[in-house]
Amino acid sequence: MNSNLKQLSTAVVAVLVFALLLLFSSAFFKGLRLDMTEHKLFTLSSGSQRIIESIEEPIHLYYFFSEESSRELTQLRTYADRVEALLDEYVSLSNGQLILTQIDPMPFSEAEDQADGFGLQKVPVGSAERFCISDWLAAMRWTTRK
Amino acid sequence: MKNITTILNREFASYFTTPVAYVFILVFLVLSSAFTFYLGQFYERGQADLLPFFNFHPWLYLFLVPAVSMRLWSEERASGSIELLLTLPITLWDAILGKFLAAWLFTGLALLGTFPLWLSVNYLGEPDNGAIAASYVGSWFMAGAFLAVGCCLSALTKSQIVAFILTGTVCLLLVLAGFPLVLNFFQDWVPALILDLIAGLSVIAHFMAISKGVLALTDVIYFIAMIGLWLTLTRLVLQAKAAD
Amino acid sequence: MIEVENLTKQFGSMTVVKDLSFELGAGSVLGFLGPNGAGKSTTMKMITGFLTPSSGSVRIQGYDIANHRQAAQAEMGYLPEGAPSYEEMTVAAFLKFIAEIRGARGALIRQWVDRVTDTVSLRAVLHQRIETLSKGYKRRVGLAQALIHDPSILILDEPTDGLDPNQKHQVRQMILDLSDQKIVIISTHILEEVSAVCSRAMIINAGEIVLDDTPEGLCQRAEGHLSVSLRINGVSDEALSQACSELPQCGRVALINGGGVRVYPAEALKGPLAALQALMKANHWQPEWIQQHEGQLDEVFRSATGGRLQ
Repeated sequence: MNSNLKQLSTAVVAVLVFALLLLFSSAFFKGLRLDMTEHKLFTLSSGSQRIIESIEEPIHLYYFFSEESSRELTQLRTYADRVEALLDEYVSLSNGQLILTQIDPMPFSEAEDQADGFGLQKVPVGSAERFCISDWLAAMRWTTRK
Repeated sequence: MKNITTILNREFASYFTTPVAYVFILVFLVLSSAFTFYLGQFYERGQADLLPFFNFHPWLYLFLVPAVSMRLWSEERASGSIELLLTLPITLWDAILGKFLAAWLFTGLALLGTFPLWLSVNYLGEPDNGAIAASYVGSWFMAGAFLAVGCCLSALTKSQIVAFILTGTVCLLLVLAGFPLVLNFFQDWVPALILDLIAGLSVIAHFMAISKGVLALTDVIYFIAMIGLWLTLTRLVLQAKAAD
Repeated sequence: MIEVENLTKQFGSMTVVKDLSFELGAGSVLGFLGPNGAGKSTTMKMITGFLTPSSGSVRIQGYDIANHRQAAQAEMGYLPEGAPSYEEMTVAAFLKFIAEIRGARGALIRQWVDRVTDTVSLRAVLHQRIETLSKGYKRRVGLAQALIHDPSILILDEPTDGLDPNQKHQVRQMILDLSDQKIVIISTHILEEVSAVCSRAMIINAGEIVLDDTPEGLCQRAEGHLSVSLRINGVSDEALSQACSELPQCGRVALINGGGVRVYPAEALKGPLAALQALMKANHWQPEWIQQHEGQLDEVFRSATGGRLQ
């Protein structure tokens, strides 16, 4: 009976250690990473880093990407993944000052109205009805690229 | 240490004394290529990378890894050789690590067998080989995490089929953990901390993070912690079975 | 030296081994006897550290199996029930693996494998896969792995099960040869094996030691030990049995099917033979035949284990 108790407590401790590692490792080891891509795609230049770190009041970023319309556009989806990853990178360096909201503008939804409100254009693409990606974001990405 | 390598060598060699190993490697190569070219639209994308190849790995591993791990302990229990192994002068960790590492190396070997795909993209274009290397590392870690789950669950039963199904189910849960469908289900009635934990369990999130080309310590820790947890549980299962 | 103290094992609510205690020194061969399910194998699994006892302790050459498991296991060679092995391996590869785990390095590995191959005559099948071997050879492979490091203690669970009479004889001879300096525990349900190789025998029933003695000592406990059967010319069996039962040295008297009378001693180890001879002399009876019996182990076994089918 005694050994059962010991085993049970070992199991509980193991699970707890695991949960703690999972919950807090991202906070502790945030900066420790190895960018293995050849062109250091996910490493920002020191200039960009300085700018992002010095943001003093919260800035909201809205990223529109339509899952449905882009379904057949694999190239564009890959590109969108990159944009998303880069945005995540900005956010993670900004000490919470950059707030990213991802929006999928489904047809006839509130999100679509929101996209219209930002002045995004619907462009017919292939068989899909519409598709939008923020010009501004593409521009932003352009300026940070070395 | 010497005991671990002795057991590792024996286990690793035993994969190749039966046709199982060859069948496994063949199935892995055929399926991963088929997924890449047909479902992943390798050519249609016009991109020189291996993303469509790696994107399918979590799903492929869901049934291929349990097929490797199911025999780790269940077979020993069924044949009685576990009684021989555990009465040799070795620690439980020697036995567990030897077996786990042999299985992990074996899946690594199967993974390396996909190098023709890598050659193809290099022939067709100029892929980011750094990102591809990171993806291979991520995929191997993911296989390791699944194997550790399978190692623990196969110690529970002498039936390989039961071990296979249990492992597949638990791995599926780990894959699905990060999906909105699952998170929405929990959202309303669990505290935020637990919800974070469930989202953090997601194998796919950590695998995708590595496979885009960035080897972050957080993701590596996730996989190592996963392996450590399940191997610790394996040891507890073996101890409980001895006391049962 | 093996010291077993108050060893108990429960599976759920069932007690398989109850409060077992014994000590065993070098040079002894102990035979565990008992019906199937008596707890012989479970006891061996606890001695070798495969199962954890519910309570009680086992010490092997001074090492407690619970706290110094590895050191204790290094002293023992163990043949588990059914002689399991890694059947996909060749005999040579399997023995090499065991030798390595048992601590042999370099040239010593070969030496150990060579020696044990000769001891149990495996040379002919050394490079065959174990799964292709006959039951007898598999058992010998099991014996070989138990013997490979020349352990001071051998625990053999049914070592001759499934062997043909020649092989059985061979294995018993081997155990006898080894037993001078070693401690050997074998379990068996073949009674002749106990008389053939053991210096001590324990009959276990329902998890408890019911008898613990030398094989000869066990035989003497048989009801039939020193009993006499006889038939007298010209005297009816009924009259004879009547006369016998009046003697104080005679216990139970039974009529033998097909003629004759069997007279059991009234007190163990004191046979009625002399008293019967005196009776015959006094009445001038001529025996048609007369015979004194030795106790049979199976009689002891049956009476000790209740003779029930388990």
